Amino acid sequence: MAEFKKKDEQKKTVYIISIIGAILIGAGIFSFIASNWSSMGKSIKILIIIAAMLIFYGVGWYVREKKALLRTGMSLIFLGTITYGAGIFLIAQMFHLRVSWADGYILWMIGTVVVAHAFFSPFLFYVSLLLGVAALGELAMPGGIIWTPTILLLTGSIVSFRTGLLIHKKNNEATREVR
Amino acid sequence: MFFFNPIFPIILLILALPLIVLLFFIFGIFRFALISDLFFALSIPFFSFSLMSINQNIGSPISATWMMLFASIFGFFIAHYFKKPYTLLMSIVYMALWWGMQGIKWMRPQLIESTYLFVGFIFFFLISYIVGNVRKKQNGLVDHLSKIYLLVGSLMTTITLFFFSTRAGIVAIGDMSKGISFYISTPLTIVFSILLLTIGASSFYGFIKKSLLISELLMIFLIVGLFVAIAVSPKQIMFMGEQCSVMFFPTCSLSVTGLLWAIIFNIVLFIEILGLVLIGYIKKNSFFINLGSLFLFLFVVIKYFDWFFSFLDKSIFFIGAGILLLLSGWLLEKERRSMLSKINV
Repeated sequence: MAEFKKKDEQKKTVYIISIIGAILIGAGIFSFIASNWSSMGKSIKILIIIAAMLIFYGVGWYVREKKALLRTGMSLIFLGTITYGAGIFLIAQMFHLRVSWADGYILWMIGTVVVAHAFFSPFLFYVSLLLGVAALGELAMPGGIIWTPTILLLTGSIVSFRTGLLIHKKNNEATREVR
Repeated sequence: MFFFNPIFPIILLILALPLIVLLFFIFGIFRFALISDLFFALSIPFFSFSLMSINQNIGSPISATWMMLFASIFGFFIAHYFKKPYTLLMSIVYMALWWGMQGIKWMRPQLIESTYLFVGFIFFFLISYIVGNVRKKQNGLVDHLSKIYLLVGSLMTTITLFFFSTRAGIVAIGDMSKGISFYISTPLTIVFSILLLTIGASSFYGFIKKSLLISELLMIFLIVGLFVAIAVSPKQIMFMGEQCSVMFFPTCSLSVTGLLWAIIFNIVLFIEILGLVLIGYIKKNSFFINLGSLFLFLFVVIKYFDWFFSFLDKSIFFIGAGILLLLSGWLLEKERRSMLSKINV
């Protein structure tokens, strides 16, 4: 029992260290890009955003699925999710798109939900929930729903409901199998 | 008015976050069950905003606040069909938000007194309490939905009574009673009639099915009677002097009317808190025992600072209050431990 507890704590420690490491790498990369951002052309900027996202997702998938380093892989995938979100807001800013913060958060939430489903990761589901709450916070501001397209709001509600339904069904199936 | 401020739902959410964390520990829901519940709960406000947006696009034929009610009803269906407690909590919050915003819309144009807003809230909370008891009787201890109904009903009723028993609450009743009676508004009359009928019918049903004790039934009628009395009373002058209509003005003296309401509310609150503890013992519900004990402690502390701070010599009051608290605490703790050990066995 003590041995099991020790291994469990070690797993949690690895997970936390990996997440912190991913966040630090992400912060370092973003600060480097930010310091040189204004001198880059639009094409280069988009290329960097997409490349960073794909690299993080790709390497994260490889490390998780092929090397069986679940926590390290998940940290890289989380980094990819952050890159995806940052990319949404950066592209909107670059092209001066007339959108609200809520639009960005909803799109970010949808993308994160898709990745969360792919790996069935509780951590990514919680991240997408937080993004959903952030979107709702923006929508509750004065004039919040005026700027957000109806289709995006409907998509947000359908995605939330459908995700809840899918997880509920999968959880019930898993509970039945255990029994 | 604060309720029309769009920041209000955000503040409600921020205030609700500690409650959500507390609920997580109370229910101990497994991870994926919790995640699916939270996604269902998230879909309710999104659905509400979608309906508002559609309504806006077609020229707003219906008031936007009704979209909150539709979303809330949708949430109730999901919560009961999939047995999701957080979704139920979100639905209840949305229904309360609908009442707050729609109630003000009905009252404001005709200058109807705003005490009816809180009367409506109290009726909702009491119905929630009754439904929780009926569900618990039917489904047993495993039903998380009944826990939510009971939690909302008991906690919010106690908090509301607590507020109105304070100096600030007495001022609020006085300020809110300046207005016209609700009879002139058809929608308000309909809503109150429905709520009163629902409370009456459900409480009798609960009593017949042995979900509610006679003491709970009497308590419900007492609280309903108290708030109906506030609603039908004419304008109340609670303090002596015009300048005392402002909240948190501690040096004002209560008028006879103000003193009467203060005594009534404090007695009703004290009975309600003791009733919670008693019901906890009878129904072997440790949550009610703990909640009642906490509110009893808060009752003594808050009443001291609220009402008695300037009345007695402070040193005498400190000593007296200290002895009273120690004795009450010792007695309650003794009884509580004894009951809790019997419940856990």
